[in-house]
Amino acid sequence: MAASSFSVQRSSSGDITILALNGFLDAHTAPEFEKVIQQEFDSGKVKLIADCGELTYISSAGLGVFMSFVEDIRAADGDLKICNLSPKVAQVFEILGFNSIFEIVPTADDAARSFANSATEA
Amino acid sequence: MSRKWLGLCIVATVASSFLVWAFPRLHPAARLSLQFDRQGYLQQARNAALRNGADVAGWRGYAQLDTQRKNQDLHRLLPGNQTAAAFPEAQVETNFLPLQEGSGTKVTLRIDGRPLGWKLPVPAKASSDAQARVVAQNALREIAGADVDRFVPDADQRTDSDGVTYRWTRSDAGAELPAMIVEVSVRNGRAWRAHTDFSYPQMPKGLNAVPIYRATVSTLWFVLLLPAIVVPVLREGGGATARALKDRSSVRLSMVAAAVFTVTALLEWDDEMISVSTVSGVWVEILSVVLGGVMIGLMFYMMSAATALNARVHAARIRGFRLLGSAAFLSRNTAMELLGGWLAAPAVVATPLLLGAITRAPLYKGYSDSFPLVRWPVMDALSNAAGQETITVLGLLGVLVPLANRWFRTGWLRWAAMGVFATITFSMLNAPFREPAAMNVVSAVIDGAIMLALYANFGVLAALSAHCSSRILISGAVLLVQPAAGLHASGWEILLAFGALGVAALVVTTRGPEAVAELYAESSARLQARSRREELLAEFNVARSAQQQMLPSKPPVLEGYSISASCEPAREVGGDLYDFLRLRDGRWGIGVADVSGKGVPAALYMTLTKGLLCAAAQESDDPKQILGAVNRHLRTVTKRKMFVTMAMGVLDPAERRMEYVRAGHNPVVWRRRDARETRLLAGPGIGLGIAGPALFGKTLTAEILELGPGDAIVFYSDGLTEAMNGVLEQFGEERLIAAVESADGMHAEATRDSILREVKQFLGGGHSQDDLTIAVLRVNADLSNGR
Repeated sequence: MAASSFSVQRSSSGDITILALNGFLDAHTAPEFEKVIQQEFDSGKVKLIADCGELTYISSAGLGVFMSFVEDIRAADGDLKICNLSPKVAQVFEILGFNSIFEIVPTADDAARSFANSATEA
Repeated sequence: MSRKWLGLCIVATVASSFLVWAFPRLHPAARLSLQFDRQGYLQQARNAALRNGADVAGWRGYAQLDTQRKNQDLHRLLPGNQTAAAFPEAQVETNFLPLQEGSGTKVTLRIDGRPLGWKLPVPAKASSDAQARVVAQNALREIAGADVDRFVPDADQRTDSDGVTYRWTRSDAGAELPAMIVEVSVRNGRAWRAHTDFSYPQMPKGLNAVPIYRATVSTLWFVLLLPAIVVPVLREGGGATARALKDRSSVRLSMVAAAVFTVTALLEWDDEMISVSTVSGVWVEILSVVLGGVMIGLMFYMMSAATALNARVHAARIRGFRLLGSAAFLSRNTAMELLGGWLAAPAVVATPLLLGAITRAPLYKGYSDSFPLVRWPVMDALSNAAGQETITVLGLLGVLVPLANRWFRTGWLRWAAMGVFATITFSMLNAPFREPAAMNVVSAVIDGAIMLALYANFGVLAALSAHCSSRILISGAVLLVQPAAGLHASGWEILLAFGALGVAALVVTTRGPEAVAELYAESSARLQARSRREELLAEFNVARSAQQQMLPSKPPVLEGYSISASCEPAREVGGDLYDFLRLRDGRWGIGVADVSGKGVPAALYMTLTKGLLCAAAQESDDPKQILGAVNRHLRTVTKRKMFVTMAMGVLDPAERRMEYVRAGHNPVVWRRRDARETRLLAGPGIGLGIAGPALFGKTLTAEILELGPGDAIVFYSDGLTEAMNGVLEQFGEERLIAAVESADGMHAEATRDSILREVKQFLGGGHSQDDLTIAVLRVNADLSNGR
């Protein structure tokens, strides 16, 4: 890939952490994303929303990062929800069958609401 | 002893013998004839000050010899002229500072100790100026000596804040001839200021050629330096440049150079202080010492790093130099080069003398230095030897000479270019002849030839050693030929130090340790790196063919169908896979899989997937079950770090029916010829290794495709649809569909070739970034022939 710039911006509201992904998530940048999720997980933040609004490209290695954490996060009573997918990225998620595994919602607010609902259910 | 050493020893012996005879006779420094040493000149200056009313006994003193090139020229051009003869060839400037606060005193002396002028503190009012003329005449007598009667007083004296100023001109001066004027100012009864002025006649034409010539070669040198630094940076690349910049040997050597400079400046601290403190103060001096050290260090570092960057061009030539900056600096390997250069030093010193003796061209080399009067002559000689000129020589051999190697392939052209570079360098460093300027070129050619011979036979370090040794030798010889006892002794000290350096180099060369560890580390590490790299490349080739062999060598031959498949890894090994599986119920499975990631890890998992797939296909005829088994195993093994996507169609050839499943893979293309319709089969299904068996099984959905005559099923990996061209456009599904549709009527292999051709055309000569895998199944248009 010609351009390999990728960044993650963290913000939180309550116990929910929103990770805003930006740029190209590929084999080169995946470790960066992995580190961020690991840090959140290690500091006990398990309600994560991946905002993919600015994510222009995701490769299989990038998808692997989502995959490798979701079960640990769920085991810790948390979840990794995905929102704001661009049509192209959404297609990749869909082809791979990620929509059966992850909760993919239109916006970060939807994701936050979903966290709130599951909290009341519990 | 080898011929190389024998030759050097003969040259050293002959050159040394010649120097013993020639130096006192031919070297211009011998004509200086300094009659006092440092303390002697300071005492002469104190006496002169005292005679004129200023007692500077106990003051800190500093003396510096300044040679007067113009006066030397005048002596040569006007041999019979007595006024010209009175112009001093050199003069000694002395400065005195009181220990406490107060203004300093300055006295200028001739070589024989007679004053040429002074500036003393203005005396307190002691006596009237009634005797001013007598006081001034006494001062003139002191300056003019026996020639005092030749001086004619000016008609008027000037009276101002300086006191009364008298002026005399030597009477034997004509309009075309040099004139000598003495001016004495008297105030409060003391001749507190005296000054000798020299005015020169028109110098003969051509005498200024030398400075122009030197400016030209200096400009040339620096112009050459630019490509010499830029070219290797471009040729060797960023990685090598970064390594050269981080080179420890360079850093250490430049730190040593900076330290030597700073230490010598500090040793001469008092001298330096006195010479500047009247002007700028202590902090300026401290700053200048520190900055000077940093500058020398930086310049040395730059040249040394550039030398290291050229390692590929002349590794053997710079080995000794680089070892000097390593733990093995006292090894046989470095000492040998140092000794070689040391032996060549007498020849370097002798070159201009020999040329001068042969052509009778007048020399002025060594006339412009102040070193004879410093406090620590040996230290000064050593530090001068390791100064800026040495960095220039390093620039020639470590930076310019490799440029010749890079530019020219032919041997003689290379040496010619090196010769030109060397001549330019030494023309800049040494211009021992006043005229003709061409003589300086001849001298530089010889100097350059000596240095290049040392470079070729030993290395960079030998040439640097020759340069430094020659500077030390010349410092010693210049002092040795002076009549003043102290300077004469200093000359012996320096020569002794020179000899000691040679003996030390000889001892280490014969008895010292070999720098085995360092050399081994250098060469074996490089060799290992090289062979290891080659080894790895070879292994990758093996892996590549092993992987290709793992793919079916040819597709199954099924009546009524044609099948064709291929896989082009983007790198040596890839993570894509296709396979044809004969199931127990007689059906054929056609599968294409893509392992996440690239390179070796992907290739390893590709192999694993292939094995799992084969095993699973023996256990079950149901594609959902087969993929379910693969998913289960992969999930256990990969620990969710990676996944595999797969599309699989199980064909019942007789029924012309395909059962299709898709586990996260790119949807296959189904071209229905008769229906004139093309579909992407994007049924639900999660990639293998991602989800647990329950979720995986629940999601995976099989679709039954009833194939018609002329239909095509195209399996592919995302490397095909995501193939990206120069403007970052992807090939995409639409182009793929179009390519499949345009292949209507072709059999499988032609279809595959046609699609790949479209992709290649789209890439426009570029290379796919990902593995490119495609498998095509074509139903024959009529059952008689596959066309």
